[in-house]
Amino acid sequence: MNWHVLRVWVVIAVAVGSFIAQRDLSRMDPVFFRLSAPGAKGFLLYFAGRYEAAAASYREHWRAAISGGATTGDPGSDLILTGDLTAAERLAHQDIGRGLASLRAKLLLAEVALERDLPSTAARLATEVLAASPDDVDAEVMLAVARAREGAAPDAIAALGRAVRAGRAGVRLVTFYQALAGTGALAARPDRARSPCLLAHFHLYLRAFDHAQARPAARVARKAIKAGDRPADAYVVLGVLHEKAGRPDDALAAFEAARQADPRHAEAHRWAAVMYGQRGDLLNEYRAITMALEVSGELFYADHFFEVAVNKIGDPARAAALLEPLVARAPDDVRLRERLGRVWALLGDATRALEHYERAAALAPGNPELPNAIGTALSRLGRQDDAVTALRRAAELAPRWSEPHRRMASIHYLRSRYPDAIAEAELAQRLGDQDVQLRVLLREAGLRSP
Amino acid sequence: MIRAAIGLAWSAWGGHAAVIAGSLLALQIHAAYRVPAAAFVALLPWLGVVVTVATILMLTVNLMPTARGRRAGAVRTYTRRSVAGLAAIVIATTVAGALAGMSSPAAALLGLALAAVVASVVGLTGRLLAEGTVAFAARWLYRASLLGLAAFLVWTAVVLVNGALDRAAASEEASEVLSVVTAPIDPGIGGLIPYAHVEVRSWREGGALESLVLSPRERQRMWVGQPVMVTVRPGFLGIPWVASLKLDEARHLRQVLAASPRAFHAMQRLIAIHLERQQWDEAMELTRRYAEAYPDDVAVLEQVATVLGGAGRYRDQGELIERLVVRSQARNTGS
Repeated sequence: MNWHVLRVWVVIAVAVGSFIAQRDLSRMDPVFFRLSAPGAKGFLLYFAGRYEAAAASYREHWRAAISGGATTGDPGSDLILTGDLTAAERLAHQDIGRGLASLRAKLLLAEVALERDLPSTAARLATEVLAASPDDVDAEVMLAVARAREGAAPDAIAALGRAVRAGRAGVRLVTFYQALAGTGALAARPDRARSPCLLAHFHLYLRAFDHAQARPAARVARKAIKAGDRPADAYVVLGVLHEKAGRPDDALAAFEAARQADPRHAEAHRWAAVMYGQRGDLLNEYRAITMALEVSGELFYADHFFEVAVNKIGDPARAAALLEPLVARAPDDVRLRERLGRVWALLGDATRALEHYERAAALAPGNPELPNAIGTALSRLGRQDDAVTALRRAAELAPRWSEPHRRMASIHYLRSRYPDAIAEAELAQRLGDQDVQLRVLLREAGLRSP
Repeated sequence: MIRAAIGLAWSAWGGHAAVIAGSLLALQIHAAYRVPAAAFVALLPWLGVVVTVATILMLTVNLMPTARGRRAGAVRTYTRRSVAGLAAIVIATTVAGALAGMSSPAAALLGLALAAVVASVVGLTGRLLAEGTVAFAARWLYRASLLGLAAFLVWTAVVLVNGALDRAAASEEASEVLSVVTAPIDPGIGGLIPYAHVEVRSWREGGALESLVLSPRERQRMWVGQPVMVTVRPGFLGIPWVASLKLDEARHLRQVLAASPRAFHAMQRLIAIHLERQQWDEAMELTRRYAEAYPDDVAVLEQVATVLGGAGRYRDQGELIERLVVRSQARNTGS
């Protein structure tokens, strides 16, 4: 071949390669890059869309690497990847009943169950983990893989939806390979034997590891909409993809279509609220997030709802009406208790505010904001000595925080204890409090002090 | 080097690049000094197509070999008959325009324009039929697309002069967004310039709706049903133009209060807006409502009372102070 022509082809190949690398490879998680022959094979198979074979190749890479002394960083994962499921199970049983380790052990057992193709066992274990730790993305993905194998597509979609809304990827390597293989297995099925909506959700989840997954996710989601397979869920997938790609108009249109397709789709309402919030449309943001909480009754939506209903428009009565029923579901949720305390304080019901704050403080004794709020509520109830005790506790927990001292100064001043008021006010000022009323208080107390 | 640069600018390539760059820059002018002209706003997304077509034609025309022979002469001479035909068009159009209620000069201009268009189309078709070459067609299409771009640039210059030199007072008009239309101006290689326009309820007598070009930043803050305040200026050349399109916060807050009547942040902000605008009765009415909903929040009542006192609204101030006294007595007696 002519040397000159060859050089031209090399330059073109390098240019095209650089473009692809910049566009696709740079947005891929390191989990795809393994320095070994099976690792490279896995990457190529993944690139070719053969996810089951890719997962098998990556596992082969780890089997060889772990045998050679390497580790994934997790002993349980190492055992599964080398194929020693009995040892992995034994390791998990050692940790069961030991707090956080117990949850990890259950996740390990769920992975082992999936390896043994026991999806119902895996689903049960993942559900147990989620009952204790509702934000666990790995548990949601395991549940989704298990439910997908059982043929329960709606449950799998729900689990993946929760995994995606958490906004982060799972960290367990085996779970990732199981999800990757699950996606490949689902994609390989004939159209009539698979749920395109579920496949779109798997691709959407994998997008957290590789942005290029957005393309198959959108393609399959459109197919799901066309086929009438859970169109609301599919529209949400499209909306999320548009939002991630920086197309807010298209995203909002997709979320609105999802709301129309299923008016009880909480995630569609929440996403619509997010999009309206970005535009500055307070009214529709409030309506949409209220709807999300109303139709779902899920604690997950409480934070966003509180932010809009209380902090943005200031409707504590509505917030109390929607947040109080959640206490029955999550009586030990500190944030919910704290928020309800604030809601009742805004509504002027210091007794109910105190009830929630005290419960929250019992659950999170190290949080200084709670005794500070308790002190304020007690002060409003006229229990000034108890209020000062609570505020002292807050000051002990956060010695560099001026607010408890300012509040104590105010209580002492109203009780005509001017030297105490001056001492607390001066301390608050030393801690950086620039409050004008504090300065006035200090001046007045100085004039009245004997 | 300067000669080389001038040579490049004069050359087809440099000139074409300048026209394209000018057309794209013109978009910024239309987003800043926007004239509510529905037809123009609707045609604007086609700018991308015209740019792409012009570029392809420019490449085609310049890469084609130059014709060796002399250009074919005019295949059709303007006979008395054709001149009479054109004159008939002018007269007929002018009469029709005048009968339809147009002013006489406008009707005459319309007639001339129509006659010119007919003459151009007939002449061009004749040349095309006579020469029958792709090169000829490409050259004429390229000229037509350049003419389109030139017309757009001339209109942009008019808009620029009309807006930039306008020193007259602006008027604020209340309106509402009826639809938001997003269409990328696509020169063939993806949506390079995000383009959007809104249709808002017209503030002019007899007008149904107005179309306004949006800047990318405004696009992110627009939604259907949004109450807006439109700042309209008369224009240096007498063409009214829109200087800004902003959320009408007061109306938006009223919408929020309709959905959530006890929303205290919305009430506080709306009270502040009414006080700023010296809408004392509205401010008082809302403050009364606020005091009923949140009797413990005396700070808002104190602030409003202070402002009302400063404005000489002593009766309203007295009413609020009375409420504060009653509240204070109630607190002291523990009720």
